[in-house]
Amino acid sequence: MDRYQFEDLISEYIEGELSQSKRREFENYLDDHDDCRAQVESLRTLLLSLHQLSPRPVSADFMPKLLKRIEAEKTRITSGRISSIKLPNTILGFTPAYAGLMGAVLLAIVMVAVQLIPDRPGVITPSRVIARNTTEPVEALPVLELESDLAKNEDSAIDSTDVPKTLPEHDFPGGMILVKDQE
Amino acid sequence: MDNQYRYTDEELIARFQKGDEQAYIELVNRYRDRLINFAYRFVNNEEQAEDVVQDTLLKLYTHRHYYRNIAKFSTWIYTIAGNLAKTELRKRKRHKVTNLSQMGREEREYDLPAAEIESGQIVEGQYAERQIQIAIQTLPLHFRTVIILRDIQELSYEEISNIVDVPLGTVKSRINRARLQLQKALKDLK
Repeated sequence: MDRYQFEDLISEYIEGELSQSKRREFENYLDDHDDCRAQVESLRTLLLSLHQLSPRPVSADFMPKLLKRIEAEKTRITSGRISSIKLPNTILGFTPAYAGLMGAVLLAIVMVAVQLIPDRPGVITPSRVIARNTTEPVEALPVLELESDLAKNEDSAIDSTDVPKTLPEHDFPGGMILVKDQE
Repeated sequence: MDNQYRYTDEELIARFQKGDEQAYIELVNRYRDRLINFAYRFVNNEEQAEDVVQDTLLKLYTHRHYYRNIAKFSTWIYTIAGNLAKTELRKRKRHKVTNLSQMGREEREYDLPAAEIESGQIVEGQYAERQIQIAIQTLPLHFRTVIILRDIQELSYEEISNIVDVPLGTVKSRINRARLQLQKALKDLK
């Protein structure tokens, strides 16, 4: 046994927790080292002193103070419950301003998403509906008829009432064909 | 320790959890003095120690449903008190740092220790107690906690292990080292 082992075992020795063989080894070491024996005795005295430290009394107003704090706590909890019953000033957990902003952003995202849906022939998509609505007046314009009318009388005014009921079938791939382009 | 009582601590807290406020008062009466001794040895200030115990017992009232009957009640209440005592020390340390930073160098050098010894006026027993109290304050917190719980509060190693939440072997070696360090601190004080 060396000094480190002695110090590691000193508490167990004092508390009587060492095995018989260890205890014998420990005591043999003490027989050879008077300073260690003195340290054991000194520690024993210290532990006794710690056990006997005089208790600290609580102050006279300890209990009234504690009960007062408990009453205050009870009141706080009760008022907290009442205030929690009040309707929250939020929409789905958001403040009105924040909820409005979120709504606007959501609407903008939906609008952009609608525009991004690709058009397929024969499938009515929202964008196609929008496109049809905007191109219908153009389809109604008698572009080719106008050509012949203009050829006959270039100065005559264009009147939408002159548009024939049945238009010859023309293909309009990509949009309007101007007279100038035809020439 | 509970044998002298009609109800164990665990039975009392169970009754309190069911709404029996008299059980709370009984628990306060049982633990008030033990906790004040623990807190005083820890923070070395009677007023702050009392604040710690007040806060602990208030927490017992407000957080009674947090206690689960898987640990001893004493373990639970000492854990709360220990945490609050550490918080109190941290607060004081911050306050002290602020005050020191506001002091001049000379003032700092003449700052007297909290536990000043009035020579000639104190009987030997009180003097020894004072010395022990000063020596305890020199220990690091993890040593201070275990030595107070073991050698002043006389709790078992198992209970201390649960309170400080470290393995039993670590607690034993920590207590041993704390005792040796306390012994050395007292020797240095003499």
